[in-house]
Formats: sequence, C-alpha cells, structure tokens
Amino acid sequence: MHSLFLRLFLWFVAVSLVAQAPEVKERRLPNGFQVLLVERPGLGAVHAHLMVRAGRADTGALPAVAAELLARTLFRRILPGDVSAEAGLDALLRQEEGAFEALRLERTRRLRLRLSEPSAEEVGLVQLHSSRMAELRSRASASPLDLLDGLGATRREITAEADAISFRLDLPLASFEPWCRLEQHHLQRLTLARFALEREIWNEDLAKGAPAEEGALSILLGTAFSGHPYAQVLESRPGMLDGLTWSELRAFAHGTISPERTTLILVGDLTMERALPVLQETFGGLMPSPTTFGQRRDLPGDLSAGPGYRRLQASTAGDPRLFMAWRVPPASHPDSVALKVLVQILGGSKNARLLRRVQEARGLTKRLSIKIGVPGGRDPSLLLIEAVPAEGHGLAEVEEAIHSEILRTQNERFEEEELRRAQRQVASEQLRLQEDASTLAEALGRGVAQSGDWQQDFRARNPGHDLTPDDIQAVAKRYLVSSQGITALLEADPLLAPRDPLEGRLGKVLGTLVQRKVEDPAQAEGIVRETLRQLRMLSVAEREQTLKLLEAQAAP
Amino acid sequence: MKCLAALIPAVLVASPVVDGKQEFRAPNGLRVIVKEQHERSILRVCLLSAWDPTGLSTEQREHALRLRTILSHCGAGGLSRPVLERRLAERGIRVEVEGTEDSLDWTMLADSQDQEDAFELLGHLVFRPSLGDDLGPAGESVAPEVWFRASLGFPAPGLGILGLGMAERFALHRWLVRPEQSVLVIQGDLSLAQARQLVMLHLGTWSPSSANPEAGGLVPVPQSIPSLAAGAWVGSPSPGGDAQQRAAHIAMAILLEKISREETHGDLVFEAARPGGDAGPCLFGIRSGPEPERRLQVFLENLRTKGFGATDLAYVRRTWEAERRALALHPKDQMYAEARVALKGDPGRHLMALTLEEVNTALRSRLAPESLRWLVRGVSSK
Repeated sequence: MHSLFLRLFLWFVAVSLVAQAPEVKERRLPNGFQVLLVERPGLGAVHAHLMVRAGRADTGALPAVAAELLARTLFRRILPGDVSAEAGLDALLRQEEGAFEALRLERTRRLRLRLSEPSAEEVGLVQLHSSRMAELRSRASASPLDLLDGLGATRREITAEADAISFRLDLPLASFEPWCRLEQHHLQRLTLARFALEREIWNEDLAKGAPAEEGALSILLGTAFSGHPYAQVLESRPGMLDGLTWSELRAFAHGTISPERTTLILVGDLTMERALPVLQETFGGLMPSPTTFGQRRDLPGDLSAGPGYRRLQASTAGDPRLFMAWRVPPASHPDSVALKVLVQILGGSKNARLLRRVQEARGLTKRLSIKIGVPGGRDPSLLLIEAVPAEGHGLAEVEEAIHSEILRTQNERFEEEELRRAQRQVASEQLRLQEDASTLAEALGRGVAQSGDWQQDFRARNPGHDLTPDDIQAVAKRYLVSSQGITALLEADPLLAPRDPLEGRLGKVLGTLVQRKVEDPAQAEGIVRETLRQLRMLSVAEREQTLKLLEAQAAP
Repeated sequence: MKCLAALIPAVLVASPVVDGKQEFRAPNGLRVIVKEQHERSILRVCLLSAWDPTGLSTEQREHALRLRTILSHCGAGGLSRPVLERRLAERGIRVEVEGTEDSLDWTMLADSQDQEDAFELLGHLVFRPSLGDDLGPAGESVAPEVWFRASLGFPAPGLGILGLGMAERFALHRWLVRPEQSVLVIQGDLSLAQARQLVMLHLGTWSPSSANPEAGGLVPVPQSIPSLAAGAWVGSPSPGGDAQQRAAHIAMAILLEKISREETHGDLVFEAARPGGDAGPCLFGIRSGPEPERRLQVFLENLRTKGFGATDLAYVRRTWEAERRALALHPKDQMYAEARVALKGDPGRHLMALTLEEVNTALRSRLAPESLRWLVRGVSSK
C-alpha cells in the first residue's frame, strides 16, 4: 500500500513537471533561421538571445579561443563601420593585419637567430603597427555611441562555450525592430572592425591571470578527449592568437554565422504575430553560408567502446584537486534524463549522497561538486566529480571515499524517497530557470545547441516511462564504470614546487637519507616524492617535529 | 499549520491597490508589499533590511559585511545549518542571502503550495539565526585585497568572521536587522489575506530593537602590506550626501562601467558598485607590473582632469531608463529594486534632473587624493 502511494505520488510529480515546461512558440524562416518566443505580455521589454551553433569545439584548425574572439569582436560593441561602408576601414584593417604578421615573423626570426637586439626592420614594424592600432582606437572612440547603447540595450553578455557562441541583451520594446535591422546588417557584413582591439584586450585579460579551475580542467579534457575538438576547448595561453589574422577570423565568421545554424530566442512583451513580419524582413534576409568551416560531424548517440580507464597525475599550482570523470552519451540520448537525476542524487544538494557522506560526515573535502555535460553536450562528454581535499586529507583518500559511494549507488538498493526528493529538486531547478528571462533563454538555447531540442532542460522524465530506482541504478552501472572513466590527481609536485620552505627542507634531508640506502637516483627521487606527499597529511607542528628527527638522523 | 494561520485575525490595514501592488504594515513596523500573480504556482519573496552606511564607522561597515558571511553559513530557528539546508532542499525552496555595506537581503523562490514552510524558514533565517555558534574563525581569507574591498564596502565573499565575538554578532544583528527598517516584497500565487496571515504567524514576533553595538575587537584593515608580489589598489567608500549628490555618484558609476567596457586599459581593473541601482563604493587596481601606484595615480588624474561631457550625461539618463524598464524581465532583481526604493527612495527623479557640473563635481570629489584609500603590496613610494 505504501509503495502504491509512493508510485502514485511519483506519477503526480512527473505529470506536474511536464506541465511546468515553458510555453514556447517556434518558427523556422525559409532561410533556416530559427525563432523561439516565450510571450510575457505587459513587461514593456524583451530579452533577446542570439545563439550560433558553432562554439569553441567548431573552430577547425584555428585555436578554440578563436570562437571567443569572434563573439567578442562581433558583439561587445557595434560601431557604424560594422553595419555600413566606412571610408578606408577595410584598407586600415588590412594594413594592421600585414604589419602584425610581418612583425610576428620578424620577432620569430630574431628568436631563431638568438639576437638580443631588435633589427631596424623590427623597430620600423613596431612603429607601423602601433600607428595602425592607434588609428583603429581613434576610429572606435570617435564614434559618439555604440549603436546598441543608442537602442537602450542593457545587460549585454557574450559567451563562447564548447557547442555555441551567444549574445544576450535586454531591449526596450520599441527598440526590438531597430535592433533586428541593425543585427541583420551587422551579420550580413561581418566586417569585424574591432578584431585587432579585441585581440589586444584578450591578451591583456590573459596577462591578468586565467582562472586556476579552467587550467586544471583543461588538463583533464586534453586527456579525456584526445582526438576530439572537446580536448582543446579550454586551452588558453599567451601568444595563442598571434598567428590568427583578421582574414582568417573573417573566413571563420563567414563559414559559421549562417542562418541555418542560428537561433534567436526572445522572452518578453512580444507576440509571434507581431514579431514574425519583422523577423522575416530582417533575419529572413540573411544568406546561408556556402562553406562549413570547422563544422563537426554528428556522432552516433551511443557511446562507442571507450579508450579504457585512464589515470593522470600532474603537478599544478594552487589547491590540490581531484577529478573523477566518466564518459556519458550526448544530451540528446534517452539516458540523459536518468543521468541528470543520478547527478542530483549524488551531489545536487546539501543532502545528496556525496556531500552528506564524504564532505559532511567524514570531513574529507573542502569543496565537492558534480556536473554533467562537461565541456558540452552535443557529443559524448563527461560526468565530472571535482573535489578539493580538506586540510589533513590526501587526494587518494578522497578518491577512495568517492569510489566507495559510486559502488554503493550501483550495488545497494536505494529508497524511492531519495529519488522523489531528487526529482523534486530537478523540478525546482526548472522552476528557477523559468523565472528570469535571461536564464530561461539560456536554457532554451543550450537545448537547441546540444540536442536540437529546446525542451532538453525541461524533460524531467522519459515520455511514457516514469523513473524508478532501478532506472537510476541501471545508468550508474552502465556509465560509471572504469572502462569509461578517467581520474586526474592534480597537486603541486613536492620536489618541483614545494608548498612551503618547510617542505623544501624536508625534501633535502629525506634526499640525503634515501641516497644512503638506494643507489638508483630515479628510485630515490620517487621515494622522496611519495614520502613528502604523505607528510602533507600532517599538521605544521608535526612536520616540524619530523624534520627535527630526520635532521638528527642525517647528521654525519 | 494552515488551520492555525486561518485563526489569526486580519488586524492589519491594507492600502489601496496601486500598480497591481497592495501594501500593509505589520504591528512591529515591517512594511509588506504584495503583488498577486496567480498564473503559475510560484512564490517569490524578498526581505530587505537597510540602514544608513554613512552613520557607521569603517569597522561597523566591515562588521555588517561579515554578518552576511555568518548568515550565509549559520543555522537558524534551532536547526543546525546542515539540517536547515536539508529541509530547504527537500521542499525545493531556494534561498539566497546577499549583503552590501548598507543592507542585507533574503530572496526566496518556492512552490506556492509550500508557502507555510517557506515563511516559517524565512522567519528563522531573518530573526532567529544561530549567528554562527557552529562556526569558527576558520575560513577567513587572508588576502589583503579581500580586507581592502570590505573596508570600502564592497561585498567580499572571502571575508570571514574574524574579530566578531558571539555577543557582538547578536548585538549587531539586532541593531541592523530590524522590522521597522525592513521591507518584505511578496509576489506570486497567494492572496493579500494569506500574506497577512503568514506575516503575522512567522514574522509577527520579530521585535524592534535600538541597541547600538560596540565596535571593538576588530583586526584593523591593513593599509600597506609588504609582500613579494607587487600591486596597488585604490578606492573610495560609498559617498554620503543628499539624494541629488548620491544621484551624481550613481551617474559617475554608470559612466565608469561604460569606460571599463569600451576601451583597453592594460592591466588596470576597476569597478563601481551600484547596489540596487544606488551609489556604492568604487575601486581601481593594478595587480602586477612596474610602478603600479604611479600608473594608478596617472590614470585617476587623467580621469579627473578630462571629466565627462554632455553626451555622457545623455548616456546616463538613457541607460538608467532602459535598466529600469528591463527590470520586469528579471523578477528577483525587480523585487530587490522595489524593496530598496520602498526603504531608501527612488533616485531616478534626481538622476534625470542632474547637471553636468554636478556629475563632474562628484567625480572630482570622489577621486580627490584626500578621499582615496590605498592598498599597496610590495615596495610603496608613499
């Protein structure tokens, strides 16, 4: 009876979740341009989200950051030269391109010849390039107004993710039509007038310091996706854009920004009847691109046999960090709904298994999170657990604890109550996504970019099939297996980068002692490294005490 | 619980419906604004407590920011933090606590069927917090930038609870989080009568307090910290002044945001906070490279000398209007803005009446050497 009640309740929850999906009106213009509209009458404003289904994983031979540079160049500001012919602009952009490329080659030559002083030619090229940059800057600042500011656009955001680039903004209702016209001219011309300026800003941003998390994740992706574009999506290092020219980025833009790959998501005070004529007249006039620059082939939805378990140990700066990841199918796969609920059960809230047992009860981690669809969802991607150990605990200890929880999920039966709670939390997240025009448009765009289906983030169950604990256990057994797994242990190497002076001194003393007993220097180094890692589990006072004892032994 | 709520008499007097909103004041002074929206089964709540930051010492401003950290991590209503979070998660109720130097706010999103639970938990969180009896000073960020940001009044997520004893925490909380200087905005699938009952039941026992806490026991904000890594930061806290002067500072912040977006600035970073659209602190910094102090001084001097023009002022007005209009697309921000206007007044009218001279006066006074506070890492020329 109890079980029957629960099943009825689950059915009710599932039905109510389906009813909570947003009401989206969808149209496709004859040129392939897709429009999604969520009508919210009476607001007097509209949120527009323009998304191109080509992201960091679609840049072909260009570096992945080319997608980000394209997004920034296109959308950070729109100047008059971007939407109409401006005397001398094309020539100036070509001159800057020529000077930049010649300067790059001259600097490469100097490095090859190991010359310390720049040649007269290099000095001349520096001056030439600086003058062209100054002219570009002056043209940019001479424009009294960014054309988007003129339309009252606010909350402008640009993103370049693995599967898509997108541009979002809020507009007063009266500016919707002028914006469509402006954007049509902008996307038709693709002048990329701010390319050189944006490259300069990107290099400056990188010099200010890339987030440590991205760097660490990039190491994991590089190994997990070797041979697939997802491997490089987070790579960013100085000089990466030096070989990228304005002409190449334009070729990339012309091959990428094409109506059949573009979706406009609108949330706000519009009706489809009112918006459609404007959209047909503007975005409907965009010409499909004749090329398919860097476009990925669609891969089969089911996972092929994995490359086998991989384990990676690397020396990195910052907090020690553990990644445990498994390959999972793309977001369009029928199992993705059950996987999403599994993620919720494992780590989606404070009462989730991993957080409750590994973090709260045993205090092994300082931070622990779990995500699915890393770095994208169009192709097979990763279900990723990331953990930072708490003071006094090592990466191996945390790994073992998480592995143990995964095995329990696969083998021990869990309560329907836990599943119900997780489903309710997923529903609550769906509710939150729909609250804000911006988050709703983002979720719809993500669905289209990853699976071609805007409902992706709002499918809480498989049609005609309510999830049961068996379903969740089945996906855990199917995907969270070692043949699809990769583990990365990232921490500063105790010998290459001691974390404090005390560790440096311990390393020296240990080295002296071990070399007395072990002849092979590589073997001795390995022993010292591992010992130092173990010593990191101790408090500072305990390590100081250990140092004193070792120094006493090492004394001649 | 529902039966109990129904027994409470509607003793509160409601104002007429204005712009779809209804308003009443609870006996403890809490102002409540209700907007009924019955299309979806959702309840949104924003409770804002605000005070005048110009009446606070630097230490008290920093204490107020530390209180936000405590409230985000402590238990409430006799529930430990893990139990509280479990209850919220089980019901799918989302709560966020945010804070600035002049306010604390709790925003909540719940299924309207869970309104009883939502209000009960809100009451616990707002005026029955344990204030960190389960927290230790661990977790305090030692980064001087975090202290510096906090001393200016920027929200500083790394800021811990160092220097705040339990007695001080309770005194500070009672002094700052008071019903008579708070406003509760409720939107969603509930009626005015239900809102009254829920407020009376769960927030009715929240009593006013006027105790002023002592501000002792603080770790002072370091003005210059020797370090191997060079870097310089300079900033100014929230300005005081009347509504017109504050509007001039808001205009200045809007223009600084524009500058930071449009041009290249090398390794310079800067930000001007506009909490809920109001005037807030501003901060400029250079994290590396040679002579960061001198380069910052040159940048600020250029900014002061150059000033703003008529097109800039037109930009400010246009941006302000557009931002206000677009708020309807973002319910959480809209409720927060409504709550701030209810407590602090609407700066929009003053902003529209600003003259260019007033904006440039604000810029000059804000960036005048005597109003700036510096943090230098490495070798300082001062």
